[in-house]
Amino acid sequence: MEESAKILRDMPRALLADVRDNVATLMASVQPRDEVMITSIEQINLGTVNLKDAVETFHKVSVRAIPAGDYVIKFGETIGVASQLIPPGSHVHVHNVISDRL
Amino acid sequence: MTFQGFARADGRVGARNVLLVLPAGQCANELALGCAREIPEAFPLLHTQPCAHLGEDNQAAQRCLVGLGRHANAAAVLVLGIGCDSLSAERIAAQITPSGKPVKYLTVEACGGWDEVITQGRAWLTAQSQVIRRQSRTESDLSSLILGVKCGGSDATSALAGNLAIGRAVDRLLDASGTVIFSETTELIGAEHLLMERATTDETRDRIQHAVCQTEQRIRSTGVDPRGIQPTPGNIRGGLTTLEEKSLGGILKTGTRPISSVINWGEAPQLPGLHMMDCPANVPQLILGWAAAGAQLLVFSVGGGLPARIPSLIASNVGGFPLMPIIKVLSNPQDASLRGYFDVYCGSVLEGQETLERAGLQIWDKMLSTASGASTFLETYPAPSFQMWEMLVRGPTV
Repeated sequence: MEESAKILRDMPRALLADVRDNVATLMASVQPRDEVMITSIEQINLGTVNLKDAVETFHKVSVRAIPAGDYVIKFGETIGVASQLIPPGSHVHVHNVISDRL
Repeated sequence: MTFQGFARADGRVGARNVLLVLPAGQCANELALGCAREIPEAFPLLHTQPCAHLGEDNQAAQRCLVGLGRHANAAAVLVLGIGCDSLSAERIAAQITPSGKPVKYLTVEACGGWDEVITQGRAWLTAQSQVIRRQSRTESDLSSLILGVKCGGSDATSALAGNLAIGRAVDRLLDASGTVIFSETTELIGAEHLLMERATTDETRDRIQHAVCQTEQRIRSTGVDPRGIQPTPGNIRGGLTTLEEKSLGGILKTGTRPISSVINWGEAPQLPGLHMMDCPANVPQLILGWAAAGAQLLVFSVGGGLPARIPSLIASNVGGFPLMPIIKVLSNPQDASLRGYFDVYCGSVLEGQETLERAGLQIWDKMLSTASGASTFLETYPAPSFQMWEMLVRGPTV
């Protein structure tokens, strides 16, 4: 029991700002195939995602697939549009998101 | 809930007891330095108002200077001019006088020379400093507190820690009938729909939309795409991807309560509540605008990275702004070693070691203790004051 709690604590975390979001903010840098725990800001465990890319701390990762042209959601709001298919566990940043502000 | 402040004749309450030395225009800046020299309570507020501004810009500067003179943290005000200034020192002083505080104006023309202004000004300030040293704080209601909220050096941590925690403290002050002013219209682009939903009246809703649209148009009219300048390269390195993401994170520091009105740069809100001041995110203009609108305190949220390494940010090159204490909040746990440059550290929220509720309370406690006289980091940081504060210029100029 104590052992599994420790494993969870040591697992890299990513914060989901709002339950509607499809991206979460990493609290540690990660490597491909790392397993990341998704939590709410209140530290509630919401599941895990396996990383596809190496991603820097505080950058965003997708928690589910985002088809090209779909909204990228953070804070429960649109922060831009996916410019290509973004598989789960990908780095989400300026290379695959464009502003939706016309 | 109360704080300990200096009660003023007009009912306002000061968090500080400053002798404000106010040049009517930039030609009088050196007079202000000469008058204030070696008088510890005196703050020479150096600014950029030239003779070259026209119409509305001059009206805004006049409103700003009068607002600064009436500021609750100013115990007494010395207005200085040459005599040929575009804004008259006499008229500025006359409009500050109804506040009931000691006000004096001196000009080179009326005194007969430059040195005469400095001699008379120093004598007056010295006498006033004796008076204010005898004044003491009394218990004051939170409804007399006006708070400004700003962010800078933003990265992905600002929104998730500092801004959310500041939002909690903002809600608390508004629930206690206080006043909060947010601004930085350029950094609201992409989040204005959420602010509009919080407007208390149709007029406020329309003015929020108008202010954001107009700001965006001004940027586009110069041939620049707002999406190309926001987020900044530093923001992008910190993990912020789009203009909308930066704006959505930025407005979290405004809390969740309704928005009462949109005010112009340096204009005092008519009622308590939450207000938006229409001004670009240009620090030397914003600081003057918040102070002229009457804010006794400013809370400043910093993400981390290189900006966090500037001890005197955002009064940078500055040595602070004695008229309006600035509470600095740090969010990024990777820069926790810099927390000595800040008043509150919120990074522990991201490390899972502190709740947002607790972080919000820390900011709240710091706001009340600062309003009651406790020094902020910037107030104790020994940097020389070189900053020229800027008037808002919409142009054209002469």
